[in-house]
Amino acid sequence: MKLSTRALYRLGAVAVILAAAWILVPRFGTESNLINLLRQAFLLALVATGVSLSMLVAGLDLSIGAVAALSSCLAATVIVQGHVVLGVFVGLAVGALGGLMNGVMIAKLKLPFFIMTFSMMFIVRGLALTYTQGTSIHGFPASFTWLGKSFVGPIPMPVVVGAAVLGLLHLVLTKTTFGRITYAVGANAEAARFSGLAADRNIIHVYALSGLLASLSGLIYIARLNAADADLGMMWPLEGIAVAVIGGIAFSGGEGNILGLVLGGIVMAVVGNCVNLLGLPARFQDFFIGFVIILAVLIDHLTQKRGKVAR
Amino acid sequence: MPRLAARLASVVSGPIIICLGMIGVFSLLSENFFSLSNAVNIIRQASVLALVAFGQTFVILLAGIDLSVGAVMGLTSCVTATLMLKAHLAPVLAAAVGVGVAALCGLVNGLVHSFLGLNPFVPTFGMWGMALGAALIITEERVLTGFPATLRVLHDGELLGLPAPLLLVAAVLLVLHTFLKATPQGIATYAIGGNEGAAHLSGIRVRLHKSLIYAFSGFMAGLAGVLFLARSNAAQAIDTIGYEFDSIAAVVVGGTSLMGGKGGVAQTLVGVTLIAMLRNGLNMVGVNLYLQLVFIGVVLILAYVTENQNLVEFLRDLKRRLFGAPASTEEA
Amino acid sequence: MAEPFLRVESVSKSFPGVTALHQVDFDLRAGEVHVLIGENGAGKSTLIKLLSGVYPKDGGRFLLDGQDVSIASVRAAQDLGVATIYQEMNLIPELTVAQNILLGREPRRVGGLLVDTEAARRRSATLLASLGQHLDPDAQVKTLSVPQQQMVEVAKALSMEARIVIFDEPTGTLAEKETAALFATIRLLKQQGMGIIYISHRLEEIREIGDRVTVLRDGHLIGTRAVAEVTVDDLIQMMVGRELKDQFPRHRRPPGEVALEIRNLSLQGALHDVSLTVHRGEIVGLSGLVGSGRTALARVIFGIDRPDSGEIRVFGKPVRMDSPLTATKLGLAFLTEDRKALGLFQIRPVSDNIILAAIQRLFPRFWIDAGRERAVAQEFVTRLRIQTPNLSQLVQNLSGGNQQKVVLAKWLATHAKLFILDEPTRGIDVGAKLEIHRLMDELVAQGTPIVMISSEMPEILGMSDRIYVMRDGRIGGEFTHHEASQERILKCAVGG
Repeated sequence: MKLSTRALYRLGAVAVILAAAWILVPRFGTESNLINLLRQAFLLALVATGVSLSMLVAGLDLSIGAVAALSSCLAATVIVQGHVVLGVFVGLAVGALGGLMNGVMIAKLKLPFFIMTFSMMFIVRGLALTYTQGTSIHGFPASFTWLGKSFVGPIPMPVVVGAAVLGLLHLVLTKTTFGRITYAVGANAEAARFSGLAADRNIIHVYALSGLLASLSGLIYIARLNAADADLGMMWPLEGIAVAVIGGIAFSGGEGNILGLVLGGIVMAVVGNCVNLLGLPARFQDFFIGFVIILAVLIDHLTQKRGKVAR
Repeated sequence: MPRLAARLASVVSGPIIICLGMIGVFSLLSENFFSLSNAVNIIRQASVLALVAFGQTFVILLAGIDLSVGAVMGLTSCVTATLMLKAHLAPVLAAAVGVGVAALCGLVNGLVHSFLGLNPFVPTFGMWGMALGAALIITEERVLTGFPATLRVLHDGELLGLPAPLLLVAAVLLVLHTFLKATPQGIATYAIGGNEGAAHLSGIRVRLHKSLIYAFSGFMAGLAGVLFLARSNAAQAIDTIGYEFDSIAAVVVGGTSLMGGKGGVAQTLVGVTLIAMLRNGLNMVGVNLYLQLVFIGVVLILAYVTENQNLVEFLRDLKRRLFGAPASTEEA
Repeated sequence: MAEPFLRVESVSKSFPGVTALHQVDFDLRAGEVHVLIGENGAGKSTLIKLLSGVYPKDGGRFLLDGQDVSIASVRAAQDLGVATIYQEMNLIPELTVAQNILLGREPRRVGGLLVDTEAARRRSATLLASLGQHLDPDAQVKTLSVPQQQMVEVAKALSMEARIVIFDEPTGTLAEKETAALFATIRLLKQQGMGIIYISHRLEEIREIGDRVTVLRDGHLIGTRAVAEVTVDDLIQMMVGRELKDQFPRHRRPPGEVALEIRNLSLQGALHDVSLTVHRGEIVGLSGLVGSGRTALARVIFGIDRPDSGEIRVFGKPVRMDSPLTATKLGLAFLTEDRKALGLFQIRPVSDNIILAAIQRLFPRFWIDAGRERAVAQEFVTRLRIQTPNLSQLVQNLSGGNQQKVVLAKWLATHAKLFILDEPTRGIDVGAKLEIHRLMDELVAQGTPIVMISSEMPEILGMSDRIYVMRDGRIGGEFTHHEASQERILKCAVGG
């Protein structure tokens, strides 16, 4: 895989961070800690996939957390009754449907993405909460919880699933016409239309995919927690944006890749992990994350691709 | 006379109609809704959002955005509470420092955006994290209480029978509205948002102006934080998270354009009222707390559409796009 | 006769690959209207932009009242008293007339805190009245018509106490009555002692409003005359009098079947009853002045804009061109005038840009074979001689000429059956120009027709088999390659 200079810088920076953590932070390098770190990193990266896709087309999907909550609660109801496969299917379908609605309103009706996904966030979250009335659904069969709790050798299943999904997404983005058109639409939607590409249809697909990925992340989370709550994913939009931005995905669209996402996930996870291990209260995490975000973007800005335009 | 009628017609926007509609519906469904005490209630609840949304209005008028306000609000309230508890600073002084810190955060946002050329999403989002983190650090993730109640007058107090928050918001609204419409700097704000190049050519110092506007947004967030502190009588870092999105929604729903150059604080007040009234009304009518969120989402979309597009055209467009247009080519 | 207060001495300006102005002399007297004419690309815009401080000059001097001045920025130009009124308005649409006129210089009250709206209103009204206009100072600029907005710009110039007012093609969008009103205003400005530089293509207007006229051609000064002493034919001769070397690679062949037929196409404000035909194997040139409707026509043909009435037939079959998607499916290709904004994906690599338009044809099964992608991209890079270090170079790093070749490659990759090229060689160096012309000839040899919009007379005459001249949204005339000449085309374009 050919890496651009920026990707190399990013990789280098992450390596430095990891090395620093290894040396300076006690118990960082232990196997159990690294496994935790890995799990957290991939979970974060997975959550960020939907947001990243919508950012690639110069949009933003704020509804991912809410969609994950609704879809996993609905799926949970089916799963507790033993129908695992059906439940998973229901969850994914609901997520895709929610994303589809976002996409249609944004691409075809020209509703600003902010208004649409923001309102969707309220609507979907409200539906999820109404559905569960604040209670949680728990008690999943082992055939489902293995998704979140089992291991492949020393590697936690979420990492395996996460890696598989991210890998698949990488292939889709780099090797399929859909992925290529997505980058084109993000780079210059007008030029895409003028070149005879179905830009609107692409945008709809992107948001539908975002919803699907959100519900997938939701399923993995509830498998791990063995409980589904309607307040799942409250902070996901913000966490997702953080991972994406650190990973080099630009708000302006058309830039970024999956490797960046993984690195972003790793950075976020490392910061949280170190804060924990150093005995610093969790609150320092947010501060450092904010700092890292600005730093990451500054680095990108200095090695930038396009001239910056105020929003 | 026709000019007055025309101006009235342009002022009565979609969101205002929705507000009036809501008043009608809720009054019918709940006998307690249309009462003075309830109105006072709504005002008290809306006042914090109003202050934040006013600041956000300025930034959006520049075609920018401020994602940090929720966290900055929290930072102010935590700083103020801490200063009162630990440093035993007089409440007013503590509040002043808190607001000053908020303004400083805003200034950093503005400088990074204007002078380094970064998309405003970025510095304000990073600031969000840093402000939240700082607030958590200062409070050691605890809830702070037990400080002098002097500031509570901002929320509980009354003057001439009118609740203090109302007076505060009204006063701020008056000052800001005058600023935007009647001062050179206010006009410059619209100019920059409307056509930055033309504004620059007219001698306006665009970058400086933008930086100061972001500082102002921080300032208003600080003010809102102080009012929030007065209302909740406790300071916790995460309490105010969410206001950033609510403030943006209120501004946009009220009719200020995300593209900049169009809108104002009066319109934002309508947006704030709409959201607050909706929440209050749904409560009164006994709608499930959770279901309320669904209503809010739908109304937001509706308000945006009615403000920015002709509803009839929108529905016609919707129908055409969802159910297809006639065959595009006859033969290919 | 007063002495000129502004002198432009031997001023030159070059851009990468092209010399826009070469040692041009110009001067301006108080109270005169000095008209600047020349074909597209003659250098008029460049001269104006130098005077307005948009670009720095490369050589020569500007003398104002005998003093050597440097016009380093737009603000500096304004301080020197230069006001420029462009075709694209520099106004803030949501603000009022008064606010726009006095932006940045508003009268104050209450110790300088508030704007004295009453005073602003009065001052704007006064300024507008001095131009013979009575617009409502409180009207929002976005509600005004274009000529009214123009007046606001002029009033703004007055408020800045300009000594030199430059009008860049002001009558392009104006009707007759409005033009008369503009001229009345300009006469008022003359009386107030301002020097006015007026750029226009409309030669008949020049006699009405101008005192002197300067003709530029290919960046050189051809001559300055008093308007009273020249005829329109003289001016045309000065504008085009160049030697046409036969350096266009064309192999003429008899035209084939009808590929594209346009019948009575109309679009409010842009096109009026336009009809034309394009045959296989030919290059149809579309000539005309800026604003005559050529690009508007191209946009309708390609499905970007929908016409109010009329018919389009592609290879004999009537079609409803409702989007670029439809157009490309039918085998059309459109190389836009603004390649940066609409033709390229700047931050994407060369290979991407080349294959994107054809992506569904090349990879119908969703999967992109990297080898094939590279091969196709390389084939075009070689064939078009695109200068790039490698295929993954971002397109924004390429020179203008090479960027244009990438756009051409993009469309060639789609195996389109009809090409519309809008200013295909604008801003490109001579070598690249020749290559693109050669490619066009090859394309046509294979039977693929080309509609070529061009403002470069040599190109129009050298490359086209037939030429349509547009004027004010209509077809003003049609010439075959043999009938056409520079004078005939220009005369048709200006309506002389």
